[in-house]
Amino acid sequence: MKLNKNFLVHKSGKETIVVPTGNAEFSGIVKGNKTLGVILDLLKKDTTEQQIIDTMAEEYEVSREVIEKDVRMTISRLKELGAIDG
Amino acid sequence: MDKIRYEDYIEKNGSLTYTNVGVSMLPLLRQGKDMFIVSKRGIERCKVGDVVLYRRPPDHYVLHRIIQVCPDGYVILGDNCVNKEYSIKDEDIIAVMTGYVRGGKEHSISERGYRLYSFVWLHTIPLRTGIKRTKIKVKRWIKKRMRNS
Repeated sequence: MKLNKNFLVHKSGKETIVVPTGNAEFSGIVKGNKTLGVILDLLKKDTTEQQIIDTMAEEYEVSREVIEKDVRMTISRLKELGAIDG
Repeated sequence: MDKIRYEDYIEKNGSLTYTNVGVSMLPLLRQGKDMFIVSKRGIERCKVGDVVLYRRPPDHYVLHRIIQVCPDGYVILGDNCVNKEYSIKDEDIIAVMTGYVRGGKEHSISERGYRLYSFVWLHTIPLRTGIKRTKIKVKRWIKKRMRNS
């Protein structure tokens, strides 16, 4: 899976936002923290939910359970909005 | 999912980062690539050169540049447009552009590069719109000739 090309990501300070271009069906705005930013960075290349969890678990000193929960929830939400292909 | 109007979002958050639709603000904002950052406008009037987000009733939102300030409103023109808009009042203007994101990098309108672009764009309006109008006329003429031949 990969971030849909009709969505743009912008990081400003601690905030990460995802906005659709004119070609996306979704017309809102998604705001999140740095975790969202990290997930979106990983979604720039074709990847899997498990790979994202593994990468984040290696990189951050947070329990794997918390990472799994955050990643699954974020990806599920992004999929609902059509922001993820595959 | 609840929908929120631009003006309500900006009122609540102070600013908005979003994408443009269309080509009217080229070459500054490229659809599908760049983002604009607008902030809630203050009580003071806008000035020439400001890129503003305004509402065109009933529910159309536009991001274009002010090219003239009049006592009762503004004359507005998109950077890539030829037709000026004359009836934009202070109350129609929701927010003023304070920055933009190009190539993933955030830029402020106070940066030298932007100020130079804005200056050049404002001072070449008759020349640019004249060339654009001529191009449009030539294209139409060619199309007409091709249809008739």
